Amino acid sequence: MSLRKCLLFLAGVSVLSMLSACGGGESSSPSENQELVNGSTASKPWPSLACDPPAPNSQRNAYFGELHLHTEYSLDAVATRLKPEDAYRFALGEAVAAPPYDEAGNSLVPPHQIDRPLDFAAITDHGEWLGERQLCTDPTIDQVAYYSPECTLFREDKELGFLLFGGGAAAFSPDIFPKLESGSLDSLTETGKQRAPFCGALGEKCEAAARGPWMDTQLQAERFNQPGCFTTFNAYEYTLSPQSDNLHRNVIFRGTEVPTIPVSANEAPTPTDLWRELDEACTGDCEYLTIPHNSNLSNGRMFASPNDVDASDSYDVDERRKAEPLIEIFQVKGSSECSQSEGASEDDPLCDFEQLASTNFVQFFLGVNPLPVAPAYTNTVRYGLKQGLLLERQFGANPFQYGFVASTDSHFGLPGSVDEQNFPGHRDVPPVNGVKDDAYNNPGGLAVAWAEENTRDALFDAFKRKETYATSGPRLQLRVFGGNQSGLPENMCQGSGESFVRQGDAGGVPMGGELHVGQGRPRLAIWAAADAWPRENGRTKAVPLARMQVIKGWLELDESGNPVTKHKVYDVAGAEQSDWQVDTADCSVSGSGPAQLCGVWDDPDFEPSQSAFYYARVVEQPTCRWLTRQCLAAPENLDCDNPPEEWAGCCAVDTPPTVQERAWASPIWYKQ
Amino acid sequence: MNCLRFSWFGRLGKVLARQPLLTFLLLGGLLYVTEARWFIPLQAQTPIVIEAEKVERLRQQWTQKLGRAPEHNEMLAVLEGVALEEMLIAEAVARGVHRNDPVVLLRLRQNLEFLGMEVSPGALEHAYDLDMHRHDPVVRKRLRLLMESELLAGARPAPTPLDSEPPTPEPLHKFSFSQIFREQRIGPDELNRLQDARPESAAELSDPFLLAHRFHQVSEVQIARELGPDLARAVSSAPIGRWVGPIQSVYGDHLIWLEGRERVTPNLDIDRVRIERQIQAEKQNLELALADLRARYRWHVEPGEE
Repeated sequence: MSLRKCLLFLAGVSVLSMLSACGGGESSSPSENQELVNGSTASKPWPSLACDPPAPNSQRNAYFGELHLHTEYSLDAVATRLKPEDAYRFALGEAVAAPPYDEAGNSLVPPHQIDRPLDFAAITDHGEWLGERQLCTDPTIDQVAYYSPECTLFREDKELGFLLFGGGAAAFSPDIFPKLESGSLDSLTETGKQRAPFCGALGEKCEAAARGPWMDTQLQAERFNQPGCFTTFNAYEYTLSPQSDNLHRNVIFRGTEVPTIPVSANEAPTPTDLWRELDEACTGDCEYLTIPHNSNLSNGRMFASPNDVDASDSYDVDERRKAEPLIEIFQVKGSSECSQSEGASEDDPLCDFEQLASTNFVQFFLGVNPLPVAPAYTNTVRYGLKQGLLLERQFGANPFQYGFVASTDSHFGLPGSVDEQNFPGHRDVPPVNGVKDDAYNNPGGLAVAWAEENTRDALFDAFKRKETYATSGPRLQLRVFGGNQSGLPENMCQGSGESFVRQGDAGGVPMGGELHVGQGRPRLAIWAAADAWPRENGRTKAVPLARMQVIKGWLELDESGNPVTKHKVYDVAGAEQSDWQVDTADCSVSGSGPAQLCGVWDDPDFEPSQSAFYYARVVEQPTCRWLTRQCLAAPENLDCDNPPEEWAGCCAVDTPPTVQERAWASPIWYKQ
Repeated sequence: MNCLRFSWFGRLGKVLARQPLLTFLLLGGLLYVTEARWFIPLQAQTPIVIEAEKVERLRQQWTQKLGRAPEHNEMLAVLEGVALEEMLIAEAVARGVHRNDPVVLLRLRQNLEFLGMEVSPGALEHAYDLDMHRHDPVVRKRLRLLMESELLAGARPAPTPLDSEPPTPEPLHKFSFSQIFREQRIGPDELNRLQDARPESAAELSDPFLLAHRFHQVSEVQIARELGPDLARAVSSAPIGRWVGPIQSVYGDHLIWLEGRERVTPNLDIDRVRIERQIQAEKQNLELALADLRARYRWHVEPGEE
């Protein structure tokens, strides 16, 4: 280890001590409390430090991780007391103290532990309010800020405080809260973005206060990064919500070189500004990528054409392509893959999966939406991929050539806590006993990268080349190669996995790649393996697969010669009758099904002149949804006319009792 | 200079030798000052009293946050946290930290200014008379942090001192094995036939399988990650050099040929270990020091029992 790193660590110890001491009269952090409860502060001596990495695998391994996770440093993480250190410990398999807590910071529920450690994790606290939260919770930084009405309100009621001066005034548009933002007391940043008055005339106080948590985020990432065994990334969330429409992005950095403070929506009021500011702040060894998420809450903005939207929202297509190789297709606030609404994907019943009824944050938080609503299907990734084909024809490049990942977006500081059987909730203070989250949320998913080894460079390279896939939680393995009939043999599924990959690498491109005109009829070779871990019937039974499909989207000309996009879903394997059954009365499962599905698929509707994309989707057999499992503990004879608040979620009638967990592979594009 | 000092001390010694009463008073005074400065905190302190009104406020906050009243042990844990903070403040005051720390003094002067009171060297007594140092949150936090630092500095030695030898990480076994995979159950006849198979032929004798047929130096955790916990356990206990199984996984039946089991010690980054040790030791020492503090103070809720 270099002297510089040593010094960085030692500085980290000091900063960590300072930060952990902050917070007014709060007691020690829950993880410390937990150690006290267990009476074994050093009984497990630093498991993360012992690393015996396996040799790199030229055929690449599937690494499962989290790229969207909030800790106590996020202003809207109103329930948790976990910091980045606790989050990384959880990712590595240690039990931590989950919400809710008593006033002294003791967790009121049993220690929470992931069922299997993650391979990588990034902590993405909101870049916008790092300083605001710090000023509002630490009286020693700036007393004027600490005693400001906003901070006082925040300490009294964190949710209300966040909505008024965090999510409301700082991120939402003035159109939503005109009175709050027009007050002469509000401060203006250099970009004209308004911040809470206590941030100072130019927001300088909040900018300065943000450095503490940002430094701790970096230090913990450095501390827990173990090349070959466990990878951490420096990261944060850029939280832009014009008119409450979600345009959030997670910013992931390749290495230790990062900007002094996160480039937030305060400094960069449009995504284009974000990339430009990052290009200026992230130089030398600094390299970044941005991952948009929750297009399902973007009210039609996420996949808008540069010409469709306000001038301030316009973007450079090449810049977007360069900065944004991936999109988060699934998380706690639902699936963004596709929608059956408005005739968008009526032919695809599997779109009816973890759908959110809201189209922007006003609707999500308040339940009503007075703003103009865009059709729900325009918020889906499938629509975005199709729009990308249209825009490529217009601009010569596809701004939405996205690979897929999923993550949780947990605001509890619990990365990869995706188990339907053990869902602790994700943001609001959960009841000790009762339903842990709103019925329409879910535990979220995982990001998976095919990489030679578990290191920052290998994983970041996989992100950049889009050799990634998303899962809704289970650790399915999904491998896809695209090519043509001469490159990919028809019998690829008859051999071993090693020969499958060898042939795929030699004669085709992996998921995320491109095929080009002149290469002939596209052929896809797809192989999926079930999650090897038993998750059902008291962790004794694994869940088999149900079916594997290819979703194709393409561009064609209508009778008038105008370009239009279409899509079609093809079954590739599985889908036959199965004896698999799930009993929602006790959530037990029975029966069997395939643990692997493999298929070599040729596009039967191929037209050489039509640009297209293809992505694979594999689904498991049904299992109980998290809400069904938690409601098994509800009081007998629950009166749904007047249910106790903590069990009211069990009376929700618009959520299905079961789910079919799944994985989505990054697309392969056929280009002109 | 040294001669002068020596001569001064010499004269003082002669004077004291001739004046036993003066000697007695001087020594008594010295002992009083020393004890007041250093030893009073070690004696039993005035009990911490948590006002009933504060208890009720905490109870209301709990109820508002969690939708139910706290149970007895839950309320006790809350109050223990409050009491600990009060102990730290009381200990800091007992040691006179509130009269010496420049940040505390600055803050108290600011408070006096805010109240329109005179700010003179003697005016700080007004602040102390008003108990500002016990009520102002900035001063409280400052006192708490200083006291924690002071306790940490005077804490018992860390059980894992920084300079001791780094721990030897738990050794783990790494396994190299081949597997024959079949989707369907392997019957007795086929099992007999496969006993003569060579491990190099595992892939050819297997049904199609996405995951690897040969694993080289992988840990039990890594096997479990790929093939499930049952198969990992079976590999870890398998004899070397013959087929074992069939072992069932979610994928089907597996026959395992263990080629080698190697005991390895994972690499430890010594610099990281030292830094982790420092963090752990500091945490542990602080907890020990706080435990000592708790033992020296008593607390009770007004007007109830301790």
